[in-house]
Order: sequence, then structure tokens, then C-alpha cells
Amino acid sequence: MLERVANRFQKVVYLISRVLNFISMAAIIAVVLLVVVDVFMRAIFNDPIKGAHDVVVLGFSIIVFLSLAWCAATNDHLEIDIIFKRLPRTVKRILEVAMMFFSTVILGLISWQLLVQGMKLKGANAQTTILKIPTYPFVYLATLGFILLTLVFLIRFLHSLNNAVGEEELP
Amino acid sequence: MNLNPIEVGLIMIILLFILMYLKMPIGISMFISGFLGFLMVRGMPAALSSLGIITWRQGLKEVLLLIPLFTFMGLLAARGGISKSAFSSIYKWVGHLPGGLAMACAGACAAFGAVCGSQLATSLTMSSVALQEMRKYKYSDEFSLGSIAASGNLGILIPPSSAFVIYGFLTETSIGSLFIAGILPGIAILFMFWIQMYIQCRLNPALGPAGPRFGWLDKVKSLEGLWAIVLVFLLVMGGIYAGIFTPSEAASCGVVVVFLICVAKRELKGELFRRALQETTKISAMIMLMIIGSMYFSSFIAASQIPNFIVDYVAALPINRYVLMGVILFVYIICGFVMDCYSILVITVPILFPVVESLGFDPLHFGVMCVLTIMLGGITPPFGLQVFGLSGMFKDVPIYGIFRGAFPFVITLIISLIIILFVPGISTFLPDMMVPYRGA
Repeated sequence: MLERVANRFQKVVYLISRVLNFISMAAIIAVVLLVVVDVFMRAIFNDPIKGAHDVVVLGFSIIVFLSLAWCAATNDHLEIDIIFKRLPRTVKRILEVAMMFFSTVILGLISWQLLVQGMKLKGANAQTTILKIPTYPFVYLATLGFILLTLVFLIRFLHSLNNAVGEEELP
Repeated sequence: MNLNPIEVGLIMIILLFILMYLKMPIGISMFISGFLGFLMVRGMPAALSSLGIITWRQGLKEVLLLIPLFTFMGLLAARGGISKSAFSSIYKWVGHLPGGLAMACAGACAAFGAVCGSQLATSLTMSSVALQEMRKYKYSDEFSLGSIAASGNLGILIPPSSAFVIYGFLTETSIGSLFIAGILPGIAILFMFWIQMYIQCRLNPALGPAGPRFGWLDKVKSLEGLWAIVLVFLLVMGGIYAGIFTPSEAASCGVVVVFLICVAKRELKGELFRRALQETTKISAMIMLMIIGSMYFSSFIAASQIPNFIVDYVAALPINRYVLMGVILFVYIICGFVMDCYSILVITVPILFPVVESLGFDPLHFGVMCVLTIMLGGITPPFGLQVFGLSGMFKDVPIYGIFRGAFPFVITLIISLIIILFVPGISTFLPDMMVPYRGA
């Protein structure tokens, strides 16, 4: 039961994470092209693109925050397992449940606080220095990235719970 | 329970290590211990709001853009055949010496390091080019893979380098200057490796027999295999050195130039390009989660007063500063045994850098030494990054064989580290000559 719910949930979350990762990939190309064109304009026509820096910085926030969830979904965030893998199996299972639980909680807190931060910046009407682009939508995007990351860890928590419960039922 | 901030800080550092070693992702471990620490020192509202503020701000740090950009550039170069032509052209020059293929491989790693910022990518790329040749000439597998693993290290010392980006970000040192500082030590270590390989193969010719000798005409002609790397290096590092580019402008131009070279060489297919891009977001996400977590943790560490406490304590010690630096480097080497390079930097630098500064060491000099200790960690058990990477690719060679093959390089690196510690000029000479003067 738990496994089935987790699996269905996982499909949706992974799909969205993947889409966000594609946006992050596109943002890298966009940022590279923008910077190169800016350098060219400056070097050849002595006429840099106005406010390119603002766009680059906001583009970077997209690159960072939208790629986090997919990296977790493919299980590529850095972990150290040299001690963990030597522990007895039951201990491992229980620890995994605990670790995934605490990870999910802290990531949830971060998502919530990013949302709060976005609302504050919206209220304060925060803008970039030259182009006056409002920054709050990008904070909301970052929040979305972190919510997805939280959900990926929630799924890993459910799986670990399922593993641990399954273990006890065995003779 | 009434603990003072320093005690809370120490407890949280211990908690951090416990969580990390229980296989919690490193970035998240730093968030949790930082959060609990803030909670105990500053209270709930501060702990919560700093979660949002610090996380969002790291996404706006333009310096960190260098990580995806240089990663992308290196991955494109790795797939575009640039490494192969570098290897064959250096081979024509040193191939006739004992251990010539290994020397060519180290040289090609250094050359490839000039367009790639990661030691693992350098090792893996070079292994797919060089190992086959080395096997053809009956090189011992242990020696071959050991030297590929060790030479890959030149990738993070010779700019661009992801380790320098992170170090520069954490210590607010100019990343351009750090890059330039890595050049001479990188070349020096390449020569140390060459001498060591030569001696090894002289003493035991079975390790790496000499190859055929090429004529001068061939040698000179082969140099065209290096043009791509020379072009990119001159553009990127030359531009930074001369003050024409900021590092992120240089990196973007580098990406485009490498892309064009690969297209011109007809080596880059659409699928390879997409995979390189995907790998880039993955690596940048991996590093960024850790950096965001570390910025949160290190602002707690700053609030806990631990760095000040250590600085005051150390300042009162009646010991020579080189002895203290020796102790610090020893700590790094020990950390290198049990952690990967990024974790070492993000955990130790915020705590130890104030001490290093108060001892009067140049941030560039210390940066180079930090990277050297990381290089050691990459080829020593039990957490040798390149060794594990290579053994994943060549499953027929036992992993401890590769560690054994890499061991002589560990000694060479330690000797190099000692030389670089006592001759700061190797690290600081080039940056001191830079056009935008250091600190300006």
C-alpha cells in the first residue's frame, strides 16, 4: 500500500523535477550566450548590453535552484558511506528512516522560509539595480525548486520506511 | 542547560560529522546542525529567517556561476577529442624515454587541466585515451592507472579549477588571482611527476618500457594537436591575467570557443552535447546544495565565536608559524583520507582560514597548499576520488592495486607540498605581476 502510493507520487514528482532540470539546462545556455554577446558588444562596439549583469545573476539563481531536485532524484548529492555501509542491516534501515525524516523536515523548513522571503521581497518591492526587474518571482521559483527537493526526500523517506517495516514482518 | 556559544559550536561540529557519516547528504547535514546551533544561540525566529535569507542569497553570488560554466567547458572538451590530440602530441616528445607513455599521460593531464576544472573528469578522460596505448606497450596496469589517477590531480591545480572557485568564494580571495597562482605549482608538480616516473621506470623497466623514438619533423608537426588547448588557455587565463575579462566572462567565452572547436573537429554530436549539459546541471546542483548548506553552517560558526576563539588561542602559543601551518596541513591531509575535496573545503576553510590569516600567510599561498592536500586525498585510501572513478571503469584491476600504483605519487606530492610551503614565491610570483594588481 505504502509502496504503491509512494511509487505513483514518485512518478509525478520526478517528472516535474526533470522538467525543472531542463529549464536549468536552458538557463545555462542563455547565460553563456548573453555574457558572450555582452563581451563582444563591449569589445567591438564599446557598447555593452545594458543591465546584462542583472539578467545573468537572476539566470544563475534559476540554474542553481531548479537543478537541485533532479540531482536528488538521481541520487547524486554527495554522501559519505564509508562507515554507513559497514553497519548491520537492521541498524542501517532504521538510521535511513531517521536520516530521510530529518532531511525532509529541514528541507520543508527551508522551502517555507524561502516562500516567506519571497513575500517579504514582494512587499518591499525589491528590484535589480539597473533593469529594475522585481526579484520576488525568482525567489518563488527557488521555493518551487526546494519544494520539489523536499518531495524527493519525502519519497525517499517513504521508501525507507517501507523497507524498514517490510524487514520486521519477515520471520 | 546553559551552554556558551563556543560549546554549542563544538557540539554542532560533532553532530555535523555524525550526520555526514550516517550517509545524510552533506549539504543537508550542514543545514541541520547549523539550524540547531542557531536555535540554541540565537533562538527560533533568527534560526528560521536565516534559513530563507542565506539560501536565497547564495543563488545570487555571481562568482559561483563559474562552477557550472567551467564544468560545462571541461565536459565539452572531454567529449570533443581535445584530450586525444594533446596526448598523442606530447607522446611524440617524451615517448622514447622509460615510462614515456605515463609521462605523456601526465603532460596531457596538465594540458587538459588547462581547459577542465575537475580532477576526476581529467583522470577519466585521460584513461579512455591513454590506458589502451599503455596496455599495448605492456605497461603494468598498476603503474598506468596509478599515474593516471595522480596526474588527473593536475586538473584542479592548473586553472580553471573548481576547488579554487570554492576556496576563493569562501575566503573572499580574488578567483582570478587564485587561478594564476595555480599555474607555476602545477607545472612544478608535473616536472616532479616526470622525474619520479623516469626514476621508477629506470629502476624497474618492466613497469613502463620505452617506446619508439620520433624524428624532429614529426615532433614539431605533432604540436598542432595542442593548438586547441593553447588557444582556449590563452583566451581564458590570458584574458583574466591581462584584466580584459572577469572570470565569468572568460568562462563563458571559453565555453563558446570549446564548443566551436569541437564542432570544427566534427567530434560533437547533438546527443553528446545534451549529455554534457545534463551532467553540468547535476554537478553544479551537487556542489551548490553543499555550498548553500555550508554558508548557513559557517554563519552559525561565525556566530558561535569559534574562529575568534581559535585565533586568540593560537596567537598566544609560543610556537613558530610554520609549525602551526604544518599542523593545519596535517589536519587537511587527514581530512583528505576520509572526505572528498569539496566537503573538506566547505567545512574546514570557514573555521581555519581566520587562523591562517592571523598567522600572516598569504591567502593565495594557503589556497595552493589546500588544493595540494586535496590532491593527496584523491589518490589515498579509503576515499580516493580518482582511484574509485578509475576502478569503476576498469573493473579488471583490483582497487588496492591502483592505490599501490599511486603511492609513489603521494610521496612526490608530500615533498612538493613541503617545497611550496617554504617557497611561497612559487604560488605568489605570477599573481603579483598581474595587470589588475592584487587587492585592487
